[in-house]
This record gives sequence, structure tokens and C-alpha cells, in this order.
Amino acid sequence: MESRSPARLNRSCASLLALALIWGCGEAAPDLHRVGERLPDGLGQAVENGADVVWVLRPEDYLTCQTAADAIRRAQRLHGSALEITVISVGSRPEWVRAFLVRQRIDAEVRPVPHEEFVALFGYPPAATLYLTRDGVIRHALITSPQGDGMAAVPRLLEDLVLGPKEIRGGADQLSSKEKT
Amino acid sequence: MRWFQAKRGAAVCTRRWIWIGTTFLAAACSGGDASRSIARPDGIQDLVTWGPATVLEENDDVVSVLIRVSIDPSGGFLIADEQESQIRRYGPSGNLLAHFGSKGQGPMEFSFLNRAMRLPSGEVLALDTYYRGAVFDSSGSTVVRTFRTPVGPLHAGTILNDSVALLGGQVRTGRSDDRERRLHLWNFRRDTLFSSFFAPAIEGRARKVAANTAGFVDVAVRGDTIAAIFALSDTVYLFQTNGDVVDKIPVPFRFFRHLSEDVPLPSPNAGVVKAREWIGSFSMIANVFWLPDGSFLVQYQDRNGPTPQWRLMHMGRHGQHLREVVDSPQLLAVDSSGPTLYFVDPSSLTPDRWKAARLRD
Repeated sequence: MESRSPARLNRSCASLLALALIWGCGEAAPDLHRVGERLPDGLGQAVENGADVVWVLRPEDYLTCQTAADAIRRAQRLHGSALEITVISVGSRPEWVRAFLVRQRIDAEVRPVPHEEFVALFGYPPAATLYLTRDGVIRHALITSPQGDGMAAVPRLLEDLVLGPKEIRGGADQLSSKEKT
Repeated sequence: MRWFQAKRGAAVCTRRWIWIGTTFLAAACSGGDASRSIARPDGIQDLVTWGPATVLEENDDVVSVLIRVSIDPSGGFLIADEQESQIRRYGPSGNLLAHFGSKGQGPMEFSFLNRAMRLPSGEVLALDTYYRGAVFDSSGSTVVRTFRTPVGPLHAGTILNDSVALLGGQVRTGRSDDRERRLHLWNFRRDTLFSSFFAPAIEGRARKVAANTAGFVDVAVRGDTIAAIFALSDTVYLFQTNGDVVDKIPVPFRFFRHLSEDVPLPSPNAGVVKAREWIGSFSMIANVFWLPDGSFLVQYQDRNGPTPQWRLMHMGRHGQHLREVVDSPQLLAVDSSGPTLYFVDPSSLTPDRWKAARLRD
């Protein structure tokens, strides 16, 4: 997806991975990797100093809950190529995941990962999760309701992680017009 | 990787030949009659001649995701994006004139925006999928009034006059036979539901399950007559605006896959993949368009997971089979003044790129 905010790209110097935990439309949260930890090796996507979102999707996630897609799409339009998104497709039908992303207008690389491999890498069963890291370290954990209430915070969290806290970054006034009230 | 803007051409040709071969084999094995066993779908080029392409303008705040289009009598298009809950006014060339609305519960906000239509007064009527709507001023900058409706989820909506909308969907209150009716006349100025009609027969366990999941309706209005379709029924139903039945026209499909009670339903614990695979085992009618010459365009779909594959049937006013395209681009809207048909560009995977077309004689 083309960047529409070159000024933001120039300012961005940090990886951007948002950890938004979407618990499969109401599932109890498994014991996931936490803030301050790193994602397991072997996914091949972690960029130490780049922006990266890793989004774990199972069929029951993308065929039902699409609230995360809204937040990710908006974040990608805001931050452009500064935000690299990788989707870990767990389960059958990875082609359905690709089709889902196309329809959601999200530019992402899809990596099919069999269920058993996911468990071996992560140490727990897959759940619908967004991992957002900065400098390779998980920075945020966001659990949402089935209605996606928590997703409203994702764009702001991503902005803070890409650009740094408002009190530190310059040009904050330029950004305020883009924030949704 | 810009795969979401990738070309569809090669895949389209391949799928047509796979469809032809599959249809032949299926008919041969089932002992179908000779005419059906060699039925060959039309190509889109057999149905239409292409006109100019249009690209809908997008920006940081505007992206076309899940759109429904209405022709704006003022010129251009009104678009309701269900995923973005945003209304957009576009000029005829795809230039963005205005956008308004967002996700939420406030007066200018929607849960899942379903329709946006220009009223004779010049105002804009917006309908949510769930139980509410709003009237905006002609520019969209101000909400004139909001209202709640008893219909949800909304499947279809169109304007009959400056006060009355025809809503397609079910009401969740009232008597049980009221709840089976799927078309409703709603006075949005007075918040009054004053007529409900059209209760398609739904018999059999599989059809009942399918109707709960995919019981869509769509409507088209010509003069004082309403044409309606139901997703699982191969019929165009005609009603007077008071709900009286005028006619029932069988749709002469050749490639529509009817829901079979013999195909096992997925068990409740089978998971969404199995459920989607079952939904992919039958066709569903999505839209009906009524052309000035009295003929109909009936658009139906076959689902492959989350992706609809579109088919388009052109039938005469009395049920004559004219053309049937099984690998059609999505037909978004018909401007009766041409008539001009607006499709998603066949080479595009995203709904922001269109192509206009005219029916071949």
C-alpha cells in the first residue's frame, strides 16, 4: 500500500508492532507472550528496527471477527509502508486469509503456519492476536471484546509507537487533525 | 507486494473452462437432458459492451472496502461503505465530492452502514443494517433527523417517495407471521411501519438453516411495481406497492446450484470452515435490477470462503432466458437513463475501480 504520509515515514525510526489481543470473539485469553518479551524466533518477520505487525489469524477469526481489520486498515493508511504487517495464518485454507485481506484492503504478507508448528514456536495454542513490537520487543497488549471495543485504541497506540510519545515528538499539532474523536 | 491490485484475467479464463467442464461432467453423470448437458455459460463480453473506466478517488480518510452504490439523480453516485460506515458522494468521473459518517452510536454514526440514497427533496437517507437511520441535508454536513426502524438485519432498501422507504429484512417483534415477512414500507418522516409483505416459503431443515444465515432479499422498483428476490428462491416476485402479488416469474437459471436437503448439514461443533464450505455448496441470489425494457438482471453468487464469485442472469420480463454469465465481475448499480451498468473492473480485485457497460442488443 502506498504511503500517504511521507512526513511520518521520515520521522519514524522505530519498529512498530502493536500487541492487540482479540480473544476470538469472547474466548478466554491464553497465556500469551507479554509486554517486554520478544516473539519466538523462526517466524522470520521480526525486524529489530523496523515497523512490524504480526497478526495471528485462524479461520474462526477472519470469517467472523473483523473489527481488528478496521483498526489495522486505518493504521496502515496512516503510516503507510512504515508499518509492515505479517499475518500468521493458522489452520487450513490460507488462500481464504489472503482473500480476506484483499477485501479488507490490507497489504500484508501471509505466512501459513500449521497448528502444531505454532504451538511448538509459541508454546500455546493460537488465538486471534496482534503483536506490535518496537525494537523487537512487545510493547502493548490489547484485549478487545467481541464488539471490538479495544480496537479503537489501536491507532493511537500505533501512532505513539511509530512516532514516539506526543510530549517528545515535534509537530504533534500536524497529527491532531488526523485523530478521530 | 501489490497482490490486492493484481490482474484477474488469466484466472477468469481458467475458471470459465473449469466451470464448463465441471458442468458437463455433472450433467452427464446425473443423466441430465441433452440441452442442459451441453449448456455453455456466456462470457461477459456476450452480455455487454464496455465503456469507460472509473477510479473512485481515495485518500487517508476514504478507502472503498464493502460498498453499495446508488445512482445520485443530482449526478454521480452515493456510496455506503458498510465496513467503514461512511457515506461518500462522488462525481460521475469518480472524483470525491464529500464524505461523512463514521462508526459509532451518535447521530452521524453507524454500526454497519447499509444504504445511502438521495431523496426527491435533495436530502440523503442513510440506513444502518441494524434498526436505525438518519436523514442528512443535501451536502451531508448536517443531520436533519435520526430514527429507529424495526427491521434488522437490513438486506435491501430503496426509496418510494420523499417519505417512504421500502426496507428488506425481518422485524424482530410482533406476531410470528409478521416476522416471516421480508419487505416493509417504512415512513421515515413519521417513524411508522405501515405495511409488511413477502414471506417466501422456507421448507426443509437445510433451507431453514441457510435462511437464518443467508436469507437475503433485494428489490427493484419500476413505477408502482416492486420486483423482489430471495436468496434461496429462483423466482422474481412482483408486487404492487400495497403488497398485493402481481406475478411470480421463475428465473430460468442454467448454472444456479440449488440448495439440496441431501447434502449433510455441518454439525454445530464442526467449525466455521466447515460451515463456510457448506455455504459454498449452493448458489445465492444477491441482487435484482429492473431495466427500462422490462427485462431483469439477476445477480447471484457462489461463495469460496469469504469471497463471492459473481454470476449474472439476463432474463426477459416473462422469464425468457437471454444470457447467463458465470464469471461476471460484480454489478454494482444500473443507471436506468442509459441504461448504463456499473461493474467492478474485471481486472481489479478491489471495488474502487469500475467499468461502465451497455447491454448488447
